[in-house]
Amino acid sequence: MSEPGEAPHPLRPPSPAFVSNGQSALGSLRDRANTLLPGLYAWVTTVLLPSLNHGAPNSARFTALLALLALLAAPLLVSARPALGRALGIFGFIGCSLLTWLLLGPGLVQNPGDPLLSALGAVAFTLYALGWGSQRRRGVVPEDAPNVILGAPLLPRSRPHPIAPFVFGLVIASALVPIFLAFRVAEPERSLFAHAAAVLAAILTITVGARVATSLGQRRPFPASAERLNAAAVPLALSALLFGLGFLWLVVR
Amino acid sequence: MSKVVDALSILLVLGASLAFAVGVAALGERRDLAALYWLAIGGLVLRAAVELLRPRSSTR
Repeated sequence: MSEPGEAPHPLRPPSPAFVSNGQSALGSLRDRANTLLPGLYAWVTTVLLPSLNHGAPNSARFTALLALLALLAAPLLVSARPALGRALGIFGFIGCSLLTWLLLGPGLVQNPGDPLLSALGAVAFTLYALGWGSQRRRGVVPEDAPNVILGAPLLPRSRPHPIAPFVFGLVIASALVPIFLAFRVAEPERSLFAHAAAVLAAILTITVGARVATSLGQRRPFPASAERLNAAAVPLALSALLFGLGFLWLVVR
Repeated sequence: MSKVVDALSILLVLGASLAFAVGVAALGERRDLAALYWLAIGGLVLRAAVELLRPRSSTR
């Protein structure tokens, strides 16, 4: 990889998609819809609604407005001045939202009876963060970039199994269930523990699920299936023992 | 046989996730013992899924 700002490769003309072009404001907003839409939803549900409460201080409303301005200005600036656009979109928006929550204090809990709204706001913030990752634009071939290093393409050591994406998607969906359920815990102390346990469970599940999905169908000379089952015998036996104890407890009770 | 073990590992991961979900739900219903029970079940089942994928060298 070459550094940004390095001179283009002399043998390869720059692709038109990589040349900076003057985009309209609407086009910039449309191109960054993957960050703008979840950002707007997250702002409305978690920043705007608590700021509209009667007891909310004016300073919190001002920082909420600043967060919205940062959110809207970032896509407009990201083409011409990428560093400033990203700083506004990431640090400006998140920082002003965080400041709003701090200024709101106890008033942040504007509707304790609707944990679904809070959960959806958290998901929207996650999508917003993912949207700021570097992303290939439609129709752009990475090998056409002017700074690409020419040479033989690197071949993958193995191809993933066709059902691997579905398995991984299923694992991600199942890992999100405890995260959503944690929002249903009302008591603050239990809620904190539930959120911590749910996040830890989701991380562990996705980590193991990714390993399972990528190892599907691989022709491994070692270990054999029997050895794999033997290796898993202890945790499986402990699980069965716990299940049995739980069943006994249900019967005795 | 390898396909069966692969399918078992997928089921174990999904089962672990289900156990975690039941544990968190039990926590919300103030059933602390049940919550710890299901969280422990989830951890053990997830550990079993890992072992199915990569047994330790001592067992080879």
